[in-house]
Amino acid sequence: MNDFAVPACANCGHAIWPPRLACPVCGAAEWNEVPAPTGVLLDVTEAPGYDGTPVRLGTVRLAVPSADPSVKRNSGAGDEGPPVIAGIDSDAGAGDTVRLRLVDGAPRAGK
Amino acid sequence: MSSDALIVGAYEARYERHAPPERDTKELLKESVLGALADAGLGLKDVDGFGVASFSLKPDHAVDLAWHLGLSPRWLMEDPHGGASGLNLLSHALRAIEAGDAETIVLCSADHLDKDSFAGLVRNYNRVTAEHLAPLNYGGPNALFALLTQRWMDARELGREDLGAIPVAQRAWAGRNPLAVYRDPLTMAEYLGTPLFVPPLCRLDCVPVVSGGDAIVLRAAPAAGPAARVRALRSLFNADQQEGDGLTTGFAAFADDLWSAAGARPEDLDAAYLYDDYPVMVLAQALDLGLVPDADLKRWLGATVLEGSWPLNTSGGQLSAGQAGAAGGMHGLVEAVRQLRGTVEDERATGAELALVAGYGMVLYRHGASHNAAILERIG
Repeated sequence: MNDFAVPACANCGHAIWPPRLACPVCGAAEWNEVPAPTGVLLDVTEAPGYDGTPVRLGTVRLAVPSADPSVKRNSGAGDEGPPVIAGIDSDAGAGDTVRLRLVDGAPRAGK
Repeated sequence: MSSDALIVGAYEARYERHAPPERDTKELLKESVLGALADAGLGLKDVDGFGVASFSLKPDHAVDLAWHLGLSPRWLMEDPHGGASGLNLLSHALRAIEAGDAETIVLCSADHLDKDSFAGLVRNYNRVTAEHLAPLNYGGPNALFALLTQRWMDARELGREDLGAIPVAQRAWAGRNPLAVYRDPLTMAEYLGTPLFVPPLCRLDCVPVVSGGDAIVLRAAPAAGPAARVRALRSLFNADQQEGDGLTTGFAAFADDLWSAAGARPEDLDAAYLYDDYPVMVLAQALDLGLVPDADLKRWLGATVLEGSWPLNTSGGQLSAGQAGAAGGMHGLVEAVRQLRGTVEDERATGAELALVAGYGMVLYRHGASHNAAILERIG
């Protein structure tokens, strides 16, 4: 088990992915790691991968517990966590709640 | 000292699909620069400002290219922002002329990317791509824009017949552009019958990679003949920090300011040049820049775009003319300048006096991070 975790701003709680230098909401530059093991699969596609085999990819909108409910996420993101591009297991479809884990350094999501 | 800058020349070096390996980025840049200067009735010795955008120029930079061209510019710039590079260069060049830093500026862009160098470019497009997308065994923008397109179709209740209006209508314009790489007529039935290779996208939704180049020439006013003047230009980078749903873009943030600064309204436009790497991005720009009456996309696509009466991407756009790497950021600008100056072939001349050009690009993680747009008018 290697559940997914993301950086959350030490000042305002805004969670981001992928990791970056400073918080886009408040400008602070210190981070805490917070668990973000689940999310909602927004969309899925299938494309030819580097090795020629089909790759299922999708966007997972993470569910991240907000340290401070008054914190407003940046434009478009609402109060939810950040979006993650992940490899998607064959049994998961758009709208499903999925669990994320790291597989060989890459986020992978499935039911 | 302040002076109006005018665009007095434009040129496109022939776009070529699967160009032979001996094709060379520097040669394409040379052809573009000389072509734009000739169009302006000027020569290399008139140039005192120079800017370039090119992915495949490396390891060289703007100063190397200027040296190869025998230039000693007082103002020099290089822009790496892909589909937004043309207007980004333009925004700085306007200021340089207004400030007196240069009097005659050439802006050029070109790329020749063979299969291996294109694969390398998309795999290492930025650090996040290399570290967070490549480990998924996937690289390149097609799947990312497939996901964005799917969200658009779901949220705005669009079907493939709606998206198809863009490539189908633009192909009709491409038939009138001898420089476009795909010129054969395209019907909606053919579009809908094309297999989905990265659902919901078919290959007709994905911009074809070509080799080619573009350039424009700016000069302090007055101009001897017809010229294009930039009434207003606005940019915004990282509008949503890659965190949003992509349904609204950075264009929405500056649209009102752009129109107000230009002293114009969307209905005043005679032609629009929207960045068309994928049809969904044309829809995003049209909507966010206020070109869609009542924000009714379906009606706009059916009654205006597909019917072909409204000049949208009159070169055929990148979807039919091709995307020459970073030159994709100048393609629409060159066509707009040529339309405004009246130098295009007769069969696609629009007589446009007011045009909009938009740039978009640099997919940092999920979608483009760079947005810019300009309103240009004909002078003289």
